[in-house]
Amino acid sequence: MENNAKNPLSKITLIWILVSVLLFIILIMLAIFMRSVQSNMLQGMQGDFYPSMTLHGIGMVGLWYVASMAIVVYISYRYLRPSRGVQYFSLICTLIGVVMLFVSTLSGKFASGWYFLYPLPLHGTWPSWSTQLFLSAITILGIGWLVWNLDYLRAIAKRYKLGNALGWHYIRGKTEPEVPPFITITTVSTIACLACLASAVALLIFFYFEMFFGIRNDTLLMKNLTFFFGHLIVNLSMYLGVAVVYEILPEFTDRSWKNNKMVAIAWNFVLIVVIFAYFHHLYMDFAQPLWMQYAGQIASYTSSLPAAIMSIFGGLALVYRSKMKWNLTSSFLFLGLMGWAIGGVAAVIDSTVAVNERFHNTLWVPAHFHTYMLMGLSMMVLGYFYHFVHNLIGKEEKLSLSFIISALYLVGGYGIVGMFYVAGAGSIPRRYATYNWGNIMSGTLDAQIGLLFTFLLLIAILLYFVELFRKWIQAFKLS
Amino acid sequence: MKQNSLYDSLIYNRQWVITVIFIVFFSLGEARAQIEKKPVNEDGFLYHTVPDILIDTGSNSIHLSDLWNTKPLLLTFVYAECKGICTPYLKSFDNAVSSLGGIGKDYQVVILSFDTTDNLKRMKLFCKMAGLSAVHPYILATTDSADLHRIMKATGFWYQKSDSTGQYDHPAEIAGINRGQVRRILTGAQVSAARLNEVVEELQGNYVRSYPLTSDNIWFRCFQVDPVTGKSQLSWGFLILFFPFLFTLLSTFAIFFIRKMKFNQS
Repeated sequence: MENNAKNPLSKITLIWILVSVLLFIILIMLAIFMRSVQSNMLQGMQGDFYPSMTLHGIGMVGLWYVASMAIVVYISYRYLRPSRGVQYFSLICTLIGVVMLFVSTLSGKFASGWYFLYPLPLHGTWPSWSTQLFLSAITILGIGWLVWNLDYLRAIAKRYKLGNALGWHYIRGKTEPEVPPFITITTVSTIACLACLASAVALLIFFYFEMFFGIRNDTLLMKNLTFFFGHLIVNLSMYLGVAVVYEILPEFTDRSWKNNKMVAIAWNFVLIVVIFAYFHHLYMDFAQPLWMQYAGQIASYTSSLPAAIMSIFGGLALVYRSKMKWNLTSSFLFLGLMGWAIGGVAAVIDSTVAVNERFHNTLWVPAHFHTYMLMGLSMMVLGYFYHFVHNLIGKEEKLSLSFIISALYLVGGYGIVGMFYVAGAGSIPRRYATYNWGNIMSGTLDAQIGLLFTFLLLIAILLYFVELFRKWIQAFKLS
Repeated sequence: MKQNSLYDSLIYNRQWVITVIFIVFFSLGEARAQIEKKPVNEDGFLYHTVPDILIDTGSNSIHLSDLWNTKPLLLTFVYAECKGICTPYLKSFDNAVSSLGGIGKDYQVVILSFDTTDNLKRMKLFCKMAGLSAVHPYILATTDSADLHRIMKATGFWYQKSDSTGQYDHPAEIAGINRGQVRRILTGAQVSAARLNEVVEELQGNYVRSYPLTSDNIWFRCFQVDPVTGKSQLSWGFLILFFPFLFTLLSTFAIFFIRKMKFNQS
């Protein structure tokens, strides 16, 4: 067992864990509120649906990004020396940004959806201060995360050459120096994240120019920048989670998961292609050149398949006939990989032009992203959090409780996404507060069933939190 | 009497001042009333249900639903005694229909008189005088006052009689109706084939493209569209999409290059 207490990033990681889990519970409450409105159980509160949807969306995207980044930075201390000061700077920026997001949505009623697609933020029914506060929050978060990424890249550069960190020597057939796949995947993710955040910077500058100087923007350009940022940040969060699985899952199997030619090729391919996959968000934009639409479909397939196949087969090979120690951590890491795969397949289906024509803006979209976020990345991160605090205080997990939490999480989570899939396949549109008319009325029943599963998930998370928090207090005293 | 000041002057001529104020006030009120009535705001009527009124087409009386249940329906309003926009508007509309084609096959057109004293004979004569093509199977119709006002309310059409000329002031309007709902409203005396085509496409359930045209106040655009040819070409704004790549490349190489330099120095 690794001695986590010697890692100087233990304390800040513990703070990240507490913030992340508390935020997760609050955002699940918002999900329950939204599903209740859609179930016709909260008549007259439809007006609060869209601000809640905005906060739930941006909150979850941000939460899982910072949570996965925090544990990646912590684990990286095995190989690298990222700055502790930068970790605190990122934490403070994140906390300030989160408070501002809460105020702009819950008090200011900002309700443009999490990716604030232009020109909606400037033409909503909410006051202009809430738009300004929301965009300022994104700016502060962006600054904090950009510095975080630059520092992580600096730490990689201090130990590895760029080619080595990306595993190019494996592609050339060499095996030395040995570079863990964790480093290759996080290097790919960090470099791509710089592009993603640069896109957000350009986007925000254009927003500010219109807000303060009246210089109008091109909707197509803004949409490209929005999804360049939005699509990448979600994907990169998942890659960070997968990197954690590559590093931690072998500890439960007594086998190693080493870097090799195929792993290096797959993840370098991701770096080249993932940036272009966002084009699939613009299939409905006829003004986008046709070659970009073709590129979108090709990039969607090629960016996801190599890395997913390598990771899934690698994970299965690691577990198959091994003396796997099953507990909450190993279950969540393994099942998280499975959720990532299932959600990824559903996403690739939706990124196919012919299918997207039918599924665009239906509940199939929240179905697939909840699968890879809730049943994929969240499980990986929550699994590692559990492992982290237990490891820090040197205690074993309670297996009976772990089983109950895992079972409730699985049933609740797959129930939630299952109802989204059923509704999406039935062409029920997404982002509707109610489904009380015409041929979309079945959406109400889907929401009601989905709500029951959300309560199951909430129970699982509360049990998880109670157990985690008891250990967390002990760990915090020790760190 | 000597007038010493502006105040004295106003007091002396107060009856004229009061008269002028009244005239200005009422003319402003009149102008405001007209301005309020002139534009037909499409947003207020879209997807609203159209009353299934009974219209007289000469040979028989039919309900509008008999028409919109078979094909999309374009409904427009004129009156036979119009000396104003009806004639140039109908001519322009007829030209657009000729360019577009498909009338009677893809869609139907009802030309409804909003003057309840009109009859079909006068309407036919008027349309002939206006130069409507006899080849196009327009459905000329009249209706009673109650139904007229119901359909006007649903489509935003209005008219106002001018006491001085005895003519009706009214907009030139085409309401696109599909399955009993208003789907588009087109206004203006000049009907372009392109705009009319959009209405018909919308009624047929096809996707109608729209994209904001060039504006001087947009600095960066992905494309510029030539309004004459309709062709688009890449514009400078497209280069902004390369900024994230450039930033990433530069910062990554800077970080790793600085590391290499420090490594070499040590």
